[in-house]
Amino acid sequence: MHTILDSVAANSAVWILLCLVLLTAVQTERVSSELKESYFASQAADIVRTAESLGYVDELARCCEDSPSAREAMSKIAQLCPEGSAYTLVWKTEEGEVIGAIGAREIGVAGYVTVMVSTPTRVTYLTLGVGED
Amino acid sequence: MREAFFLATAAVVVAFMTALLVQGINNDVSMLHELAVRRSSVTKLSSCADSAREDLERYLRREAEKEVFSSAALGNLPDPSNVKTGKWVEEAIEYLGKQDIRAGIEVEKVVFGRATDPEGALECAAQLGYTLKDGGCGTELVGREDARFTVPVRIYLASDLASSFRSTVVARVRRCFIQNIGADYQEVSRTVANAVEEYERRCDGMDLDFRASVHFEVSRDNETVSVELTFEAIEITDVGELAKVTVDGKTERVTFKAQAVSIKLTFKRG
Repeated sequence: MHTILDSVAANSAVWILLCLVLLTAVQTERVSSELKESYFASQAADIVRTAESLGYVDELARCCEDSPSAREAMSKIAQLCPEGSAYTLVWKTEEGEVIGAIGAREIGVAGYVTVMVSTPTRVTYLTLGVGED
Repeated sequence: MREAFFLATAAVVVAFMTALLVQGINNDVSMLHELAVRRSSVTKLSSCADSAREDLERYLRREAEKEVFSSAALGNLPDPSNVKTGKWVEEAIEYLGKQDIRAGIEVEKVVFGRATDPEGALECAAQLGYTLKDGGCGTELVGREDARFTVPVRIYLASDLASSFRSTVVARVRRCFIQNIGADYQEVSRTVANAVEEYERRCDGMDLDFRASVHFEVSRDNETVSVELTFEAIEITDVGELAKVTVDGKTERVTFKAQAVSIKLTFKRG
């Protein structure tokens, strides 16, 4: 014969178990996305480093006032992104005004790297985001 | 009743064991979380440090090019004390602040030297010291890196050639009068013209454009012969493929313009 006490205990145990499993699942999901972000950020940092070594960032800095050339230089940087990944490349002034932007507008899980690019007239920031396609 | 007691106890034990298991998993998850955050932080700090170094080089290159251009126009060699880095340091700290990084940055004295490739070009070196601390998780990165690059304008070579041209003309005119105290205006004129031609040819072979204007006056009295040589304009332009600088957004060629110099030579008659 089952009593009310049995039901309450069994029910509580099931609820506790469910809550904990859910909590773990949520946390695991969060950590998984953080790990992915971290991986994508290091990938973005590598791409920017390669772009610097190839002179693409210098080229971009030189064509601050020349939008078509700037876009070309940005495309060269974007081409360094691995195939099958989504990217966004935004070039902004110090005040946040967008000078140029290419790539996806929104990426789900992504890692971002921002570098400083001094041009002959002002300081600008170039942000590269790499994420899942 | 007894059965119920066992069932309730078993349920609590199962819940407790599950809690322990989940707690263990949670600890692992927290550790992974911590690792992911630290990894992101380290990536951010190192990429910011790289960015600062690369940008310093970009900034210094532009400043060095400006200095080469303006000093050459005055017939001087570039002076590193004219390259100021204070403004760049402020901007770099602001950039790092926007990345949630507290930064201490210093740029040690900029040094100019003579490069060997291309021979006589300008080599610039500076050292960047930084302490970066991530505001998010307290990760710190301390480093010291060299920024070193060459401005491929052969400014030292141009300066050498200007000096060498002056001393060559002086030596040849002196020799001309030592050999023959009665040397006339035509002879001096020929000597100077030959020297100019020789330097033009020599510079042409080195992708340098050489122009010189030398005036002279010969005066004689019973005891002495004086020659006053005035090097009014010696201009040497590096026309090499790489020798272009950007000044205020414009691409320019550098012309070393040696300052006017007068030299008076006096010879005593036998």
